[in-house]
Amino acid sequence: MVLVLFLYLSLFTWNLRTGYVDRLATHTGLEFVGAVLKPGKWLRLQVVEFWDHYIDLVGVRKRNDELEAQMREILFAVAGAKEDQAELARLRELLSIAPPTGWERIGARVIAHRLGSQAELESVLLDKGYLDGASVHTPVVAYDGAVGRVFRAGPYTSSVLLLTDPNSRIAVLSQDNRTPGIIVGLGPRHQLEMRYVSLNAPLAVGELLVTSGQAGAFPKGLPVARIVSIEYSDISLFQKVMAEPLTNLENLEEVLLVGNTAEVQPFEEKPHDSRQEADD
Amino acid sequence: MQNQQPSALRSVLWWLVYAVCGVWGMSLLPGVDFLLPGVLCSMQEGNRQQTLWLVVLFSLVHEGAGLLAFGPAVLWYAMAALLFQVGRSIFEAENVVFVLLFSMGLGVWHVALGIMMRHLQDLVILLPRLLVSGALNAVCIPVVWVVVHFLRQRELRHVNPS
Repeated sequence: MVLVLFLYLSLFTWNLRTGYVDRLATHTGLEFVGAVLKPGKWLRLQVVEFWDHYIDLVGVRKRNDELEAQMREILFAVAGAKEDQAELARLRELLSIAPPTGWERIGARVIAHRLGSQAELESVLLDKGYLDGASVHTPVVAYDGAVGRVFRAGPYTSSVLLLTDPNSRIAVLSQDNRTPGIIVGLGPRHQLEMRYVSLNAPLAVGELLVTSGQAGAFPKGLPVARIVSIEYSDISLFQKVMAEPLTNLENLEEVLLVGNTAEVQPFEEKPHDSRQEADD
Repeated sequence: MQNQQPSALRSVLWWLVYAVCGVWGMSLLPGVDFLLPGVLCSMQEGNRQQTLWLVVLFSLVHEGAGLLAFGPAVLWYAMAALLFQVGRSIFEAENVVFVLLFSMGLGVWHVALGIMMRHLQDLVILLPRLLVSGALNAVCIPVVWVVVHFLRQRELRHVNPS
């Protein structure tokens, strides 16, 4: 038993240093799970789409009229937004601020929630891997807000750590007051906590929290959560800020992977010629 | 159950179908290891080579699909093997009482393993969810084992009609 524990801890430490066994498990186990689940999910999708598009058509005409009315309103809003966008570009140029780097969006389907016996962490599996652009740490968003980030990526399947998991940390800013903080998950069906907000920092209930874009992990300005309560403590240096995630993470079906397509300029190291220096 | 084993190809196909069903089971009921009852059946058959292959492949499935650093699945199956060896010295290996005690032991080990990984990998793992997963494993493993054992016996009878 002692020998087995010794061997296990040796393997564990070696893997933490090299990551070989994790990569092996990702390329075999995770891909096998993906290959097993994807056909079934595809079949289910086809059946549901057939039902929705060809059989269950009650109320489609009414819904169509509603959507047309909404579209007309949106066209007005887009026209206004285009003006704002043009003004923003002019102001940025004026202030010599570099625009945000390019971010590419890739659609992905959720093929499983919390799979396996190690399902204590809040996670989902996606049908896209690093060959499709889902590399480790790639931000994952839904149409209404942030979801989490890719934790492990195989060639065609990846796993995502959701923002409601207690191990998730995302740097955010409050949209109106620009107060920074870190959003931390507290578990499933729980609110999120915004930590490290000093007592005198301005914040308001109902304010939207957006990604700060620091360290390039997430694109700047992505909605994450909305503040639902703020408490001030006499014994703490920080406010206790609770927020509600904008996305319903329990029923995720489709998500977007947000890959940074900005070209990173490699650091060009000049050849160090000591003789030349000596000559100079 | 010391019968003649099916051919290698037939075995591979049988276990492949089982693994596919197991993965779908795990996607429907998170936290429960639907692959372990197969390993238990293989241990009961006394086929060590087959058991070893199954443990390696199923460990890779768990480690690949999970978010923890490598290790928990290896310790999970190692404890299953240890419990089986210890239990077999007291009970008949295919006794239902033995399987119930075996799954209860694994349910407790699931919780202990989670707590161990929480400290070893410096993670936050919520205890209530860990307890629920442990209880689910303790309940579901014998149920799945009954089904897999029945199917496996039918498969072996097909190979050994006498």
